[in-house]
Amino acid sequence: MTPVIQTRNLSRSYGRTDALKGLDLTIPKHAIYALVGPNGAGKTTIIKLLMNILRPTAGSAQVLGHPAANVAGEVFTHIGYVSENQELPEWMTVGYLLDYVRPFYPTWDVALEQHLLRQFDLPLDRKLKHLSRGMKMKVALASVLAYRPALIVLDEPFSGLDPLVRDELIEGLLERAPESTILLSSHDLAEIESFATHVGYLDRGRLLFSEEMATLTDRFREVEITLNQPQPLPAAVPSTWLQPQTVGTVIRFTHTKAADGAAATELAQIFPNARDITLTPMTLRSIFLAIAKSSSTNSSAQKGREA
Amino acid sequence: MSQVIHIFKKDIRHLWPEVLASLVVTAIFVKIYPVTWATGWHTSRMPDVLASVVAVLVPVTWWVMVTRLIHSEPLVGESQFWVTRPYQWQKLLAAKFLFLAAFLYVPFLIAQSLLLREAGFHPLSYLPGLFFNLFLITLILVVPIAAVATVTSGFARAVLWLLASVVYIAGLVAVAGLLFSSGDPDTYRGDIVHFVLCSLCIATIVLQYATRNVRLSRWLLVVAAATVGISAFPWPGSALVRIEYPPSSTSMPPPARLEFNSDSSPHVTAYGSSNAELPLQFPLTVSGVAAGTAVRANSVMVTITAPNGLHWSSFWQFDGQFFTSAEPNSAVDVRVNQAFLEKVKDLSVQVRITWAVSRIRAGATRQAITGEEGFTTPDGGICSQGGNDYTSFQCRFPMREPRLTRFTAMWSHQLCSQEQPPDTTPVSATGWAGHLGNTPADFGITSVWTSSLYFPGQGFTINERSNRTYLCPGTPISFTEYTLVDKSQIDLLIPAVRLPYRPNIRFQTSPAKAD
Repeated sequence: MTPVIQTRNLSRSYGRTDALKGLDLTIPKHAIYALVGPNGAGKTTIIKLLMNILRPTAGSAQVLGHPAANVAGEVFTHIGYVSENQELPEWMTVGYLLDYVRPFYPTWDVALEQHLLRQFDLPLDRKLKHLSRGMKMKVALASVLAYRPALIVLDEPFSGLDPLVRDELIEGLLERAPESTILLSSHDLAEIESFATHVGYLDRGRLLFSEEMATLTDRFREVEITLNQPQPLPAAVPSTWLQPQTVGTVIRFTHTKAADGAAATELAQIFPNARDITLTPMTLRSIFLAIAKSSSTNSSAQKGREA
Repeated sequence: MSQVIHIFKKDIRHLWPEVLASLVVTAIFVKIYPVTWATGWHTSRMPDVLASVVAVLVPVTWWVMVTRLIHSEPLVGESQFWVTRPYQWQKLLAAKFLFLAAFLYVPFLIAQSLLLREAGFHPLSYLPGLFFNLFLITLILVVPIAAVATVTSGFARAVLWLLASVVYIAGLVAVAGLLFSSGDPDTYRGDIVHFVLCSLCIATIVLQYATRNVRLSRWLLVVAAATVGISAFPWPGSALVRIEYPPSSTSMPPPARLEFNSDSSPHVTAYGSSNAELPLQFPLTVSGVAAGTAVRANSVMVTITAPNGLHWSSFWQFDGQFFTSAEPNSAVDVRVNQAFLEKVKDLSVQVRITWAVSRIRAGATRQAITGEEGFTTPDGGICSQGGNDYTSFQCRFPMREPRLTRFTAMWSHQLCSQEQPPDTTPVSATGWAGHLGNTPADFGITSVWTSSLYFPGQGFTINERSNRTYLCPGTPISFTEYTLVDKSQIDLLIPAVRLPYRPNIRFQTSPAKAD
């Protein structure tokens, strides 16, 4: 199946700063792909490159079979883009905005538009400039969902919204999920965990991993090993162990390849005097915190070595 | 097409205040501008001042409207709503043009037509001129404004760009005025600069709409600004002047013979000083102007060489006088560096004066008779009295200044009154008006151009009633239109002359001969 989005060595620099370094990303059809990572990781840059708002410094990207450089005009009848920073025409009322954008889309579904207006409780006669941030996001999303785009791209859609609005937005989004592919960037890991099918983790312009959510949560485990007597960590700590720590007779780390039962057996061999080995499933948030901390530590160590 | 109309309708809904302001100011302009026709421009009468203010406000409202129109879909930035919507840039651009056509071009065309009608001209007779002026307005005003709007993200930024442009141009004018004379006669340079400027502005607009490549577009505008900057200063070697005005040769004799006037009290007069330059006047005799032709001196340049090797050359200086066979005595005014004159004050120097001239040919001479209320010139200009004592006449012309015309009339020393006996010794006077351009319209906010019918030395002179002359009703005025034949240079060499180095002194000089 042709992926909806595919990038090859996609890079973008701002002066001497590399915002994105050689990104290879594949998003399959009907995926709900969550792009996560700390601030400044390059999430928004990827999305703007895919939407042809920015031009790449190197590499290429395909969106719905079109080179990203050609994503313009009619291609946008199949793409819905909503961003937290989007400048909406604030002089328009909600009703006029919908009236204005409707003729641009041959697939605009008036019944769905009405449904979304009710679902999001949008006041048609209010000017956008008089709406709250959450309401504006709902208007933007309604103006996107109503034409049933094949690809929905959301850049930090839930940022700074109250939980009620977030739930409404997610609900509206999920109703359209079966017919669309969704790419969204977010800090809100808890919400993403509940509905994303795929996840990619971006750190300092590099995609550290990109995989299905189920696989990810399967393979990450919080490991706690209780030893009969203190034992040092192995001289060569496997790269699959993140943030290993020893406190007395207890060793803790995050195992990144614990998907099958082999991990427990492997650990038992490494620590033969272990009294107890516990592998606990992790939330998305704890997975990313572990990765982020590990990445930060490695980076510091790298800088230390370079110094 | 539907997308064009759709965006157009949206812009009307959004920008109606700007449109309304522009239409109101244009309407006021049409209403009050005709007051300037009777008295001429740059007077202190309140209605005239008001008219001039409104005339400035018209393009200001255009600037606001064009800028706001383009900023409705900003082309700068990464967060614009419309960028990720199915806009086709060609249609977006077409929608903007349609808006300008509806709310700038059509109202302007109507305003120009109303002014023509108010001035006594039939608008339908001047359609080519009306559309040509629209074309000029587009190139000179709308395109640069639009280009700046396409590379700015908001109105405040556009204002900053405008202010920067004004400061830049004012600086150029000031620097160029301080360092150089601004009398280069070539028209090629202006044409080249205008072409480059317009091309770069149009390229910026298209590039921005097609690619939103802001950095490249801004560079294009910087190059455009640099082009304007370069045009403000003399170009090396005046190569374009030599192409446009080839020097005279044996195969191409000069259109007039100009000699330093050694017969009648030869002298050079310094008649005032200005900054570091001293204006000098050289008396001339004119001959060799072929019958039916005249020579217009567009610019003049002077080169002075002293026996001790000191040498000074001026830049081209504006001249503007006419040489005809009917007027054998003339003079040329040039500005010379005062410090140089101090250095050569006791020396007899060689002076070479070079003119860049246009040879012009007379067409048919036609007459108009002055009346109580005024008269109509043969080419359609409508003239009326500037005052009420028949000493000055103000004419209005449709779409442009008149074509270059020489006019002659007999002026009376007597008041134009039936009780007065006719003047038995009227004086013949001649003047020139208009320019050699062939375009159907001159660039302007107005479609009606005014020009004084100025007869040098006649009419109201230095407040001395006894010296006044009058152009009384019933007097015939002959008008002769001139057309360009060719352009060339004329040289005059004065082998030895002592030049004044202070204002208001005269020097006797040795006889001289010309090339």
